[in-house]
Amino acid sequence: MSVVYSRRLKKELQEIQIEQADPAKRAAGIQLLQAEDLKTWYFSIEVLGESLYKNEVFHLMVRFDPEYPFKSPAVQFVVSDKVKPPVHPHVYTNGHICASILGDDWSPTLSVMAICITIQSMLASCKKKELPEGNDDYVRTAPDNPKKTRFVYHGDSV
Amino acid sequence: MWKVNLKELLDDTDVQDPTDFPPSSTVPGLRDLDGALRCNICQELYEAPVVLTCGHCFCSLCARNQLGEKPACPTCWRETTISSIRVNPTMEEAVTAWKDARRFVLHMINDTLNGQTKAIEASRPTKRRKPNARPSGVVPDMVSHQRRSGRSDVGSSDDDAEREMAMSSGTPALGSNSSIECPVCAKSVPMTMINDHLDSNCKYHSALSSGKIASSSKSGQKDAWSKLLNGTRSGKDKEKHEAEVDNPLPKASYTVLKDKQIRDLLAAYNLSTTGDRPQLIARHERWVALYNANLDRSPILRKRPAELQLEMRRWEEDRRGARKDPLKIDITEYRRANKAEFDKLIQRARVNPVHGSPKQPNSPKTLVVESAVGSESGPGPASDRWKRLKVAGGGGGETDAIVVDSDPEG
Ligand SMILES: [Zn+2]
Ligand SMILES: [Zn+2]
Ligand SMILES: [Zn+2]
Repeated sequence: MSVVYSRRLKKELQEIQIEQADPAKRAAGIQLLQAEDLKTWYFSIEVLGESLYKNEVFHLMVRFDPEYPFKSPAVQFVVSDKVKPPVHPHVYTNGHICASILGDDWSPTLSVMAICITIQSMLASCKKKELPEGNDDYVRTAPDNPKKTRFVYHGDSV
Repeated sequence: MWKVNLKELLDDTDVQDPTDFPPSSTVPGLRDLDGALRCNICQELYEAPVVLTCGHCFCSLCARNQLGEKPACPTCWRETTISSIRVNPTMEEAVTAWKDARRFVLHMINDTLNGQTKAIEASRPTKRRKPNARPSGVVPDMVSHQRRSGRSDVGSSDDDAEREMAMSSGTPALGSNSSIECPVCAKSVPMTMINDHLDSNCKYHSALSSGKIASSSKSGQKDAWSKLLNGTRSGKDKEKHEAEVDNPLPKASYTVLKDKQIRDLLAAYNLSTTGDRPQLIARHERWVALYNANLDRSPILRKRPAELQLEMRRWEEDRRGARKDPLKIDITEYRRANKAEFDKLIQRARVNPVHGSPKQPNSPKTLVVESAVGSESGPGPASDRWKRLKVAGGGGGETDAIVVDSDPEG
């Protein structure tokens, strides 16, 4: 990443830090867990208030492309013994997420926090906990990095 | 394990942003002004600002990078192309003036609000201050400074504090005897020669080259300072630069070019010709963007070819760095390594979903997550730089850029 754009990432980090220190500004339910470098960050995400995901905590892994912010970061839910991805029609059981903000609708004027908030609201608005169609096939053949997948974003037709 | 190396990552005085200024409730307008002069892609003050057909403004290089990815404005998605980019010299003038004024204004605010907000720049190293720092009744003076439009001539100003600020922000002192390694060819070059060395595409590298070079080196040095202090170059220098750089480079159609021809294109600008075909193409594309973006500056602000070549070199290094540490990360390994911490964290999150556990002592270099929340972060007026994003998350305002695919009924 060039100096300019790694500086931008530092600004995002600074911003997140400032917000987390201030309950009034903090995006409730989203917390930075780990940011040891400018390559991979981890967040915890939960939906506060009434939702299908009440009392569930998820972890997001965000990996930055050297071409960030022109290329979106690779974002997926962490899957482990203790942390599971949400059961959601756009979240595969390997943690991969089908959301247009991570693909076609990514813009370099957006930020990591915008992604977290978008994913949080994707969970908050969920009406029915179910796996995506074709989950098993996808998980069997999916690349390690979700950015290598060409998702077809489910609109009204699916 | 669960550390956020915030201090280490953020210990960078280059990271300036609008929150350097107090919120508008304390000092009206300045934070917004600083934000308005910044590119929404890189968040820096505009470099070679350009407008797209929609009227949105970005740095030329940012716009070119983005339009290479997708031919649409990243703010409003209106379709456009690189060839319809237009320069925005008015914005450039505003930014140039603001760059001159910014530190000065920060000082003024600091002095004016002294006693109330000593910590405006708490996260930054202490700025040098004149021993006879001005008392707070200084605002009218600032206004008269501000009224001088365009590039302020700091050199003739009687306010040496301003000069001092310009100095401390800029280049290292130019010693006459020391040598430095040329960033382009890595030869050891006397400090006084480095500008001419770079301008000569690394041909001259010692004071023996010629008397003419040695003497022009002095003027080069003077120019460097006058550029630093005035934001301009001398007339002669200006002409030279206008003559050197005129026409934008055409976009090459790589599909019809052989490797050899791409190498020739690169060699014509003293760029590396190593690597495989994708590397050659990427390098040339980058060079065209960099070169043409430079032409979107007004002539007096343009960089020399050698400076652009240096930027190319840095870019190559960044790319190599990126390859060494590829995007692939073994997630199972991460999981194993962090299992215990995960467990604790989840436990804690369940108990108290919003607030962390009580403060823990900070180590000097790193902040543990819990203590990062709620302490150590300074007075931190949270900025509204990314407000748009939050608005989007809340489901109002400029949401069209963020569309999560949601349920039909939702
Ligand atoms: Zn920019
Ligand atoms: Zn636009
Ligand atoms: Zn050299």
